[in-house]
Amino acid sequence: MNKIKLRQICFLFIGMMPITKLLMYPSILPYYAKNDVVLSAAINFILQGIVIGFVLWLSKKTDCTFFQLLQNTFGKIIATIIYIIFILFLLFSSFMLITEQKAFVINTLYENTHTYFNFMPFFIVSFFACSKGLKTIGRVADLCMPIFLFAFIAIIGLSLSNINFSSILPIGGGKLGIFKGNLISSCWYTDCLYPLFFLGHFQYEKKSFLKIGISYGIGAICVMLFLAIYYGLYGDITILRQNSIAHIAKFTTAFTSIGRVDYVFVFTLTLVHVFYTIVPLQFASNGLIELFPKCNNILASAIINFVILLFIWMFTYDFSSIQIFYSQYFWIFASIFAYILPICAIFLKKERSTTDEKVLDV
Amino acid sequence: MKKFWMFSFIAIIGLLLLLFFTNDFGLMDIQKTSFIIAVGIDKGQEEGKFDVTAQIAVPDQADGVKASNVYVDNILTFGDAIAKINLKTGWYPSLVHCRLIVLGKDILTTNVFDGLNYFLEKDIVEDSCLISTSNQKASETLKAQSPIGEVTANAITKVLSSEAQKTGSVSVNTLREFAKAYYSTAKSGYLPTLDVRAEADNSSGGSGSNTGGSGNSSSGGSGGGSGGGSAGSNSENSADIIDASQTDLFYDGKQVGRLNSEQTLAFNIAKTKTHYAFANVDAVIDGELANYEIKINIVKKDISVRMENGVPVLHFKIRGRVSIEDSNKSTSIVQTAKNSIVPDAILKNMEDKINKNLTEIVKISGQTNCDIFEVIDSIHKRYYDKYQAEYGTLLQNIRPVFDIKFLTSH
Amino acid sequence: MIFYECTQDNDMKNETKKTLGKKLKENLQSILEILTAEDILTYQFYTKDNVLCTAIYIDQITDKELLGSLIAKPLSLIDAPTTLEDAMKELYFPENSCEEDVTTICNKILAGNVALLIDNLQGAIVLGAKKISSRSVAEPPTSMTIKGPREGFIEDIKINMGLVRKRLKTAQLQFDMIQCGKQSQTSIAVVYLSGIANKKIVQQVKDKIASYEIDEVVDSSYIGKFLTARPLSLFKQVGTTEKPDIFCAKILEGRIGLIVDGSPIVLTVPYLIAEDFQGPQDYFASPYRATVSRFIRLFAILISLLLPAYYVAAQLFKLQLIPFGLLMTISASTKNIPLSPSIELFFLLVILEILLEASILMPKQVSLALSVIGALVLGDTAVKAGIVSTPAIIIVAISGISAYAVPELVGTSSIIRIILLVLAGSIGTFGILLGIALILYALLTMESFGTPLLAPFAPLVKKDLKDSLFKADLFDLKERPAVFKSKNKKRLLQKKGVENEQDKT
Repeated sequence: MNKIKLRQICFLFIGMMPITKLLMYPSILPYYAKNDVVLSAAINFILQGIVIGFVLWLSKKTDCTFFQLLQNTFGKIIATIIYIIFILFLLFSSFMLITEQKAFVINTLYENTHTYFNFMPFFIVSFFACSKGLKTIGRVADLCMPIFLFAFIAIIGLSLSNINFSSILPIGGGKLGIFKGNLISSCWYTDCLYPLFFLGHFQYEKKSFLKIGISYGIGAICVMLFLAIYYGLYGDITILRQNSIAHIAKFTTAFTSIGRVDYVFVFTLTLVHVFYTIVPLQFASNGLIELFPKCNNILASAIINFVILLFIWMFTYDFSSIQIFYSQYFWIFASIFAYILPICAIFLKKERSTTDEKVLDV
Repeated sequence: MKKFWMFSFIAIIGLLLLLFFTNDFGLMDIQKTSFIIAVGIDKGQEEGKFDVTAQIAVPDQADGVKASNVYVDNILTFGDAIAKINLKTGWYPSLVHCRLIVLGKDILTTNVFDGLNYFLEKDIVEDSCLISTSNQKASETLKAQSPIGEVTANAITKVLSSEAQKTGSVSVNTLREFAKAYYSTAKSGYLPTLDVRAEADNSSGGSGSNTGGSGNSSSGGSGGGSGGGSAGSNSENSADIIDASQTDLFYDGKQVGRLNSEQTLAFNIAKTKTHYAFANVDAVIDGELANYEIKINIVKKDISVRMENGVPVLHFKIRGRVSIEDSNKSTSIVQTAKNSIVPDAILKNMEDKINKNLTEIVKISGQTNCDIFEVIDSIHKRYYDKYQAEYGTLLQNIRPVFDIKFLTSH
Repeated sequence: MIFYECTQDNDMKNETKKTLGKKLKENLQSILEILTAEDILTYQFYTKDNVLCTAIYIDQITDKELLGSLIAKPLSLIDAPTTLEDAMKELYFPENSCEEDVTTICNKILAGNVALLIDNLQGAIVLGAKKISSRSVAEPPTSMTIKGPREGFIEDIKINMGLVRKRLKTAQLQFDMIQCGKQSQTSIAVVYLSGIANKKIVQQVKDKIASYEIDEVVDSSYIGKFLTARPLSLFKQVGTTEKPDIFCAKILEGRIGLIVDGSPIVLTVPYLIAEDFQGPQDYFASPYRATVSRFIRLFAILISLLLPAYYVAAQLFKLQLIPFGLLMTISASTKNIPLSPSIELFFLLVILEILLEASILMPKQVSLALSVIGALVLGDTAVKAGIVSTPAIIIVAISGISAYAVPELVGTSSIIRIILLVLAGSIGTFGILLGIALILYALLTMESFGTPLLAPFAPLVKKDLKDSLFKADLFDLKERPAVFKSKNKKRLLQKKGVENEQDKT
């Protein structure tokens, strides 16, 4: 139920990881990094890549899950506490992504009016997905990769005629803003934590490093290309153009006889975003089941989704405050839980798992 | 478990059906929305306030689309104008299909972005929305009568279309490009200038002589008066010519200069997406002075900025193929046949003409601080140190270098 | 028709086992005590030495001519045989057996066989003299083809098995016969190719069918339900076909087929949703044409599902989705319509479903008139009366027609279409996206006998993509679909020394 193929992790990096970085991020980053958006993003990607590399090395050495590794090293009680903190961090990081998605949906998919009810059904989908185990993440990745690439290439293709790439010059003009950009964008760079939760659920294969490295690289290039194009398109007014995927191709398509055809691709990318936003919730739900084996899928899923729903409901009208909070303080949590601790995980006792479950072919 | 899913499914479907059949929860559907297709912004009578004219499309089963103008004056913000239009018409105004913003003559002396910021901050208007200035009040411009009875906004949009840009007669600009230029290092920009003139034969009609519009208009009320009138649909006694061959230059959001039609053409040939242009040139051929209408196919164009000896040098490189379309002197059949090969005198004169006009534009640019050729941006990107050192005097010190070469098409 | 709650207790299996003796009268009485219906007939005749023989059969489903010429006549010309085996030697009959168990004999009589009792001989001879009238093999109406075989399965299991055997003349082809239905005793043939099909799945299929006890199997769809992991799902989980050529092709890929007596629709498992996008003539057309056709089918099903929902969501929540010119046209058309766009579309979709339902169930002559009335009422009068708008009718018509590009999914798509419309009308554009996400999650987690429904896309099975939405050339389809995990993988081998024309060029 929870097994995943290496290929599916690769597809997750190509076809899903970039999507969270294509909504608000391209318009917020230039506020700090100015025209050096690509440089700033590249630093974030390199840091994430290093963490993923360490976790992959760990997966080569053990077939235990992250929780089993914690148990081996610290014993059940401390392992449980650490794991719960990680689950809370997952919820904490996904809260921003969901809030961002909510803002995007309301601004982009609704025009005249919207109600509080419009976004809430997201949790029905999330609840269903979380109750189905980690296997669905892999299958969703299989499905999303071609869909994402198709829609991404389409909107990039539609935007190409209006780009002025010289806008991203002079390189280094952003100065310290580049690094400040790294810090404020930490909430979009917690994907490096995910391989840690895949530990024990996938089998390390030959050339895994290369395969995941290339996939991660493709995903990173997609994001950086998007950032460059978006900045090239809007220049200094990029910071006014939030909800980037809805804006990047509209200049070509607006007022043509077929209208805003780019919305087809915007919807497609939003669908991928829905799938990817659910991923950390699925990890959290699976984590609960791992911690409390008596807790069944539905109950775990219900608890996780209820907690997030409650927070979303509580902060319905505070998107800007949330954004400010996350941009100012989240990097502290992110650097600990998504960067430092996953690297420290290589020091955990790497005893082999007692279960003899083989990874399924599919 | 099966029961749980079944129960959940039924509950969700029931809730959705309830919402579906009672779905009038404040929705602004197609019948409650009015579609603003053009906006005119004028200076209000009170300082810091605006007059706004909104041209609203009205679907018509027989004619397709008709339009009416709604006026709101003395408003502080455009959001306020929207609320007042809503109040006046009962429809919720939607700007998603707004394709034209006209800035009235009197607003150009103030920072036009005081009014335009609304459109930038909100995503409600397409960035490809065309924007222009007007020689009249914007409200008058939006009353212009198209000779073929077309809706005014559509008629102006055609004048400002990308096709017009390709022929070089109009320097078309969009909200996005204008805003980008304003927020760039150079804070400069340009907009085409609309000039609505009564057609010579029907000059008695005058501009904006719109029967529907005159009745309700009011002005001067501090609470914001409003009026209305049909736009472009009345073709019974007047028709207007809409000309956009001049270009207004902006610095820091204010109009600082204007290019005449010849300068506009030269600017378009050198800088914008003009692929072929029509121009007039005088030349002495076989000892006789004549005026020639020529067509120039622009084969190559490039503007580059280099710092040479501490001075910014603006290199213009233009290559074109020229053919004669017409002349004002009747010639023999042999001469007409010869005209397929454009004489060197015409080519030379055309090169000189563009040379002269571009020199004038560079001069105007220096005088007005309007960086129309994006020199400051280029230096900022490529010579950052020089940019910092000489920011204030860059435009004044520009030395233009021309490499313009026209060849005959045949 | 649901027979699950039928209370008539006529279960012969539950009775104590009873065997026949030597006395004909007693034997006859034992059988007729069970078979009491009036269509159970007996035919008495004597051997040359005046020993009484009795044939028990059922009127209408037994060949009486065979009974007279091949059973009664030979016995009446000889002295009574001393054993049943001797009697069988005199009867030149291909299908015969000696039985002693009364229940078995009764079951065989009910299946159309003749039971022959001879006085002083213990047991009975059961002779296969069935004669069940059936229609001739014809082209199935549900999957017509321009190019390719036109034969279709009929209701008779024997003929259907023959149609399969005609195409697969191999010793590997297996027909495992099982019975299902307490009252109907319907024969089911589990068809597979040993060495190619996965034996575990064959056993799972048999076990699943055996795990249900039902009064009557009216149609193969009943068995289909037994084989479904999620019976409440909107999506089918068992493949169906009416054409022997398609059935054989699926069997050759490693699937397991089920032919149910009385049904022209045969089942195949495991089922993949990609199957439904494969048309009957894709394999006889060029790969390019087949690929284009499959993409058109996918596009059509998306149009069918999403167009009404998109139209409603655009009108209610996001006018920007509609180009300005079209927006004006829609606005002018809907100006005087009393219904909101969502209710208008819902109303029209329901009317469409009613018309479709009625046209299927009505006699052909009436359905023609019905389509005229439907077209007139909806297409013209309703618009003129200002009840519905012209764009709404166009949307529903396009959606309705598009659904039939994938006939296997018509039922499912019509339900999903309405669900998405309700989501669009109540939640808006995001509602449609969430609906799609939920449907995809449901599909992603569904499996048919261990094979994911969305394979070869999710999970990705690269090799199988050659015959999914894409249709590779025949020469590229050298291997059976990997998703079925067949032991014998190769299905196309090029013999040594035979060079392909393609290779030469």
